[in-house]
Amino acid sequence: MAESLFPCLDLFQSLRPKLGLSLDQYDWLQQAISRGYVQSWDDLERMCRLLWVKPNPSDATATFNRIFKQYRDRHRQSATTTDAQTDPTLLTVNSPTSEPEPTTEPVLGVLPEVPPGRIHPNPDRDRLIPTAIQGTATSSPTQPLTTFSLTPSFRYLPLHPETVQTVWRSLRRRVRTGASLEPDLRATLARIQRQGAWGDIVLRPKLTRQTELVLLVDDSNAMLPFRPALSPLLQAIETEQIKPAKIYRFINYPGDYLYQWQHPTQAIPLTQWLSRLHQNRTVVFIWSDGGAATGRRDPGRSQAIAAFLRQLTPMVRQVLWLNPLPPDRWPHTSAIAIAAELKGAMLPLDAVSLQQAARGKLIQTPLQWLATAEGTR
Amino acid sequence: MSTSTPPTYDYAYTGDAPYQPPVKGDQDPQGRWYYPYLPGDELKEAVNVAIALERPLLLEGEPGCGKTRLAGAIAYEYTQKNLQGQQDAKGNHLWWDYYIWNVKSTTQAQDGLYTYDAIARLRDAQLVGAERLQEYLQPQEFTQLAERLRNRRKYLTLGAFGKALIPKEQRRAIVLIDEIDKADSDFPNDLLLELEEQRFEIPEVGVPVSPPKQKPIVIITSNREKPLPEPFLRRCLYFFVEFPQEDRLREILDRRFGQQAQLRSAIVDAAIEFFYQVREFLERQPGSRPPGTSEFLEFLQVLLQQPTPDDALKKLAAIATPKERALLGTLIKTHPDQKAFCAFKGQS
Repeated sequence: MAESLFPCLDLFQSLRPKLGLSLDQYDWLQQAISRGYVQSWDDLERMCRLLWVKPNPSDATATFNRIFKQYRDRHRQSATTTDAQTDPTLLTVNSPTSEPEPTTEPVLGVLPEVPPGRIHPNPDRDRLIPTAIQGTATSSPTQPLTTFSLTPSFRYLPLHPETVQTVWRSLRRRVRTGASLEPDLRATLARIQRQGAWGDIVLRPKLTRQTELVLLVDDSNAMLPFRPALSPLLQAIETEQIKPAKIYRFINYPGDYLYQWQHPTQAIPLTQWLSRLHQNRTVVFIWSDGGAATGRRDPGRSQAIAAFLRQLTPMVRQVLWLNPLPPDRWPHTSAIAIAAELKGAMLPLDAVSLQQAARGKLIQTPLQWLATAEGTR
Repeated sequence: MSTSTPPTYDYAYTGDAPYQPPVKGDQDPQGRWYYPYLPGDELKEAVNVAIALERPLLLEGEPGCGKTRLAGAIAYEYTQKNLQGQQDAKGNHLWWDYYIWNVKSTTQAQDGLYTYDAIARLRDAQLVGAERLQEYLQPQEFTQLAERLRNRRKYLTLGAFGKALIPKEQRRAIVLIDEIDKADSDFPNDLLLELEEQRFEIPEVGVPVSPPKQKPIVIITSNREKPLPEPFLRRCLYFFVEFPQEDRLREILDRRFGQQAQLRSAIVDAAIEFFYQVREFLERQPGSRPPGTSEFLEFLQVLLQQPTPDDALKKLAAIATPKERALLGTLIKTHPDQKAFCAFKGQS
């Protein structure tokens, strides 16, 4: 009875890759069950949520809800089939594919045990259980078309306002920059300990929190459909949640000029614009598909952008390229060449990559993936 | 030395009325105030599971929904339940061991465990070697200085988490790590060993601190200003404290204000209606934060302190006027939000 020694192992196995669970976390559930915290399906769901679901940016709650519902449905089905043969108060958590065992003896650790009144679930009650995704085709073909709307909502956009805020907070972290003027007591003491005598005081740069954001928006026609996805960032700048910040436009790639966001006809010479940037404070976001939307490789574009990046990078603290197209659309376009130039700083619009990049930890996976993809095609 | 068996304590957290502080509050010897606290059933269960599994409990939720006060409520209940009538050697009432680590933007992981005053030790070493020191120090002071210098532990001060990991008594201390997201983003990862194995090292003294027999109960709060790292999250139980529904909010008011709220139910009703109106309005405003329970308690306290119920209701009716801006300020904390709300009230 391996399953009864390891209750809910199949649920754990289905959730583990998606929620990144550790074996310790399965052990916690076992302990909670053995201490009597799990008496019903609701208890089990609540306990699994408490022990396993964390507030990470990838929507863990929705994933958990979906998989748990599938798991419960499977076991409720098997409960109703075994109902006629076995004790109705006992539902085992054996693998759903295996045949129900014709045993009636209660086994230690067999969980969850469903109370008698809940063997035949009330359909109304089930409808009240919040689930993110049904997983089956529940939409009726007769659904009125009037509910269909193309108005984008923040909820469905990849760049959520909350993500914008957390990314900005990470970028605004205090960093030590400038001349070494502040005494570093710990390093000084360590030196005295090491040398066995008083020496010079070790100095370090001061901690400062002076970050300014510059957003460069690609205003080409190919980028127009993606403009709503940028709106959380634009709104955060307009409502001064991100401050100081400046926005400029360019078309396809910045040539000799950039254009004011509010006054698109006012050109600013690139040389003049570059001189306003600060090496330790300025963070530049570039919003462009890099040619991925049109699906073409334009050597002129990638070379021009590479030249621009070579001028820009030494002048600023960090450059992050936000590409609204997913990484699998980058190969065979100019975007792949630009991504290579950026060394991991071209990011798709997912919260994890953005937050990591804002903390200075560039995830190399997309680039590695691209290099592999490029090599195999 | 007597070999007495360690006392057994009841660690189940119930939130029941007999263990709650009085309505007017209660103060511990350290000057910390405790007020009645009404946890939801799910929160109670989360606390009890965390205590049973000996894991830290990470609480997130809207500001002002009672995350920070939970740890104090547990400590108060344990005091009432387990230490009732017990006194220390000086005859003072015993309180449960409860340590608060307030995290700041400059806090480092070691600060909560210990600080070692190496500068003082260097100073003492310099002083001892100084010529004509006897002229400046009394003989007793000189002896103290020499003794201090001989014992490296004299320069050690334990932090909140450090004290909980080296308990004086044979009971599980409670430690609150408050607003962990305020610190640097690497801070939670620097605490992994201490949270996982509940031991730490003090290299300055050269002695590792082994895990205590009575493991501390760790409550961590976060306002989700920064995402917390995955390895840290994996080691915690996670609970999101929801904003209370109206019926539970009324229960909280009953516990917090007692008879005062029952006698002036008209004020309470009007205040709750107004409060939910403000919340609904601010939820629709991009970038605004709706007020939490603690702000509402302050707001209601102002109204209940008015000489008559009529005065309070008049004050509430005139809240959109400049005269009552201070009262509105207890719920709405920014000038643009106040302006927008007053305009909305003016229209309706």
